[in-house]
Amino acid sequence: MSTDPAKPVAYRDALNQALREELTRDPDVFLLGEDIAGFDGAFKVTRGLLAEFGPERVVDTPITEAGFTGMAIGAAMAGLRPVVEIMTVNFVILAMDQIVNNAAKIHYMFGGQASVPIVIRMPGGAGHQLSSQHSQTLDAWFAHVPGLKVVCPSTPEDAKGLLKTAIRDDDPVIFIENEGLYGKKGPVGGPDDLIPFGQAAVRRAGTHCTVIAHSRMVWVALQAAEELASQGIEVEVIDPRTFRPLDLDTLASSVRRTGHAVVVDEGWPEYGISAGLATLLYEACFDWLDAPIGRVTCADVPMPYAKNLEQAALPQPADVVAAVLANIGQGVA
Amino acid sequence: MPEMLMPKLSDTMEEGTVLHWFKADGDQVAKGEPLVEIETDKATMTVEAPNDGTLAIIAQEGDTLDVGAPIAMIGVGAPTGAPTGVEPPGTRSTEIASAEDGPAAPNKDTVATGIPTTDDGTADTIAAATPTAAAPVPPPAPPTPAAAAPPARTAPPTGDRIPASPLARNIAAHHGIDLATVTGTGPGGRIVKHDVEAVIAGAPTGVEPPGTRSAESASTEDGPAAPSGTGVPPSSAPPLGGAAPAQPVPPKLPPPVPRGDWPAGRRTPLTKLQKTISRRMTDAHAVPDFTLERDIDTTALEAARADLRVALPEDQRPSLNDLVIRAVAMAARERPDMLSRLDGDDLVVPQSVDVGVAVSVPGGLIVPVVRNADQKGVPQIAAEVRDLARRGRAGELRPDELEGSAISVSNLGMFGVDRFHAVINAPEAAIVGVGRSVERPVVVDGHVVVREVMTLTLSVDHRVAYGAEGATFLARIAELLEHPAALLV
Repeated sequence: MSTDPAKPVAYRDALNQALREELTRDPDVFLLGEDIAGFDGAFKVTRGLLAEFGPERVVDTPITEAGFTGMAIGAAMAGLRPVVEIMTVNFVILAMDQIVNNAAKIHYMFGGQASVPIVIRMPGGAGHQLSSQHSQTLDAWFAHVPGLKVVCPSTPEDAKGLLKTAIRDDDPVIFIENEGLYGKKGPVGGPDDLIPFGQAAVRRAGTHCTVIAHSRMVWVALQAAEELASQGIEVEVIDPRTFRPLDLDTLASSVRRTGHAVVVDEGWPEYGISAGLATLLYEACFDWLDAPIGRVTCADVPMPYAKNLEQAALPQPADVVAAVLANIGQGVA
Repeated sequence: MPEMLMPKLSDTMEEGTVLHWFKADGDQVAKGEPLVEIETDKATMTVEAPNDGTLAIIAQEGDTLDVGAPIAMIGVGAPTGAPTGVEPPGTRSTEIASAEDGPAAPNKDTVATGIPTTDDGTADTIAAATPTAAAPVPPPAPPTPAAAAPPARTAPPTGDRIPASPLARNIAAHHGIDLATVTGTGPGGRIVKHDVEAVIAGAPTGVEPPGTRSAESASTEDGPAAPSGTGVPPSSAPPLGGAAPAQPVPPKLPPPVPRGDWPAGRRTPLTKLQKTISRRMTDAHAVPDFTLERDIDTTALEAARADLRVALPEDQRPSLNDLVIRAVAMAARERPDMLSRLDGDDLVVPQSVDVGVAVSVPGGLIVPVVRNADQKGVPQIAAEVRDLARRGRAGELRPDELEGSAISVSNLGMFGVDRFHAVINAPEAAIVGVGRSVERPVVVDGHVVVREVMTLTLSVDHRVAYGAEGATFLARIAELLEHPAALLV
């Protein structure tokens, strides 16, 4: 399939391009996961790859997350570059022992004798009435663990460029997509356009308040920024893109300039991404802050099934608008 | 003892400033008597005492507080002097220190608050440090030797600590400003950057004489080094704010220039009125509008005005603007569509023809409202507008006299302006701009003649009404003004 950089590409197809290009480039790369071959993947990210690369490199697995993740870690230690698809982040919990105790630790505990160049892809996020067990955002679980790299792309361009970087990285990379973004279209880079880890993206420049958001929340924050701009308030929206490594320089220099920060996270509030980022920013920017750092997060509840409750629990643009106004000391008129 | 809270005096009021207490701290006040003058975003109002009792003032004159914040306590048996939390500097630490000294402390808040005393005095500390403690602290006892001695522990930082953002503290320290002299306008009265900047802007130059900053103090203002492991090298820290005026020492934290790289200059914070206008004008900017212009022959109108001068007492003699208001009100009664306002996906037609009249006041602009203007004759409109303008300039209008107009009239003709496009007073749908009435050459029946002519403009929210509708409305206003007898029915 040819790649026309001018043509907008859906997020899922950007991921597909990255997988296809890396499978073509490096014979050590292979894919495995539930329903990724014959069924093209639950979200059609692996569409067409079985026909192109055959069943040895595009492998359907049983419903055994711990088993096939462990198998992939072993393959990575032996020199291959497996890309594991977990159907959604809700099922990765079964494989946490393999990821946290093995993938994240092996290079460290064996003095660098072995590396684990594995990518574990999965979508998180809510918004489709899948209720408590299938609507989770667990980015923080992985960002908590030293030894992992954690990537959360928000745009098709990032999805492609960061996945290619992840596949070529020698460390275990947790690559968290978002169910609400698979249809999002945008430009993408070519076969050699890699996006390095640890570089935040300024999605919108502004002077009055820094809004930090990642994955789908970037788009929520940008909507809020539009609304605020109509009130004369210009917020700077920054997407960290990767949490390990984290580009704190870009976040902190923005917050020092604006004196105000609001962190938006689809995850839960307690001890999560928003709490961690706020703490790092307090440490780096305390004397520049004109107000306590604001947070907009998922409600601290298991996700409700009812549509209205689900939407109420998730961060909405209006929540971000209100948080920014409160932070800069203006009431909602 | 009941708290008296900052009242919400208008729909849009978010904070108010205490301008004047009519009673002194400790005075007996009676329910209903004028107690305090409050400035809102729109007007200055006198607020009455809500109940009988002894007044304990919390908010001092000049303080700006959020709606709902306590401004005073009025109750029976209140002690003279301020309640806890506003004691003179120095009193508090004595209180706390003595309370912490244990059972021999000269007063026991715990009895009144119900917080049990513990052996280590913790509860005493909490009670003494809580400004809203139910019982006011009695006048401080003379310091005993024990109380005067340095306390074994430092007092908790809640009592005297002035809430201020780290950034505001930093800027204040750099400029040698005592935070006690700064009024906080942030959430909960926190002093924020803007408040310190306001003091800097108002302060005489030379707050900090050149050369007084030691190298040591300069280095402490370097800001905190980034904690190790965060990946932020201290050298990457940008200075606060933007460009800085010349300083004796290369400033690490120059006076911030907020919101854009504007050149340095004298800085004056907006008044509440100006802030309101600023917000409203920004709102209005979002209205997709268009403006129609029409010349009106005012020869007959000027003649009618001259006649009315003979007929009416001075305070009822109409200005040209009063006659325009009358014509707009009459036309609007026939055309309620021009009074509609957009509310979501609905058009709302008001039930009365209330016309706003733009009035220039010192430092701003207000739009008082002539209610039911279509049902009022020219003399009454003239008298009302005169009264509204006079009281508006004196800051005496009530908020309800400034709200709810359905269409507005703005006049710059007295300044020699021929025509202008007025800004719609959102959420109204239309505004009439009145230029001057002046003799101009006009072609009548093939001859150039001299006539009195005035240009009216009509600016319309295009979501509510369209070009032809605006044009017929403006034509009707013109027709009425060109046949002034019609205005007098």
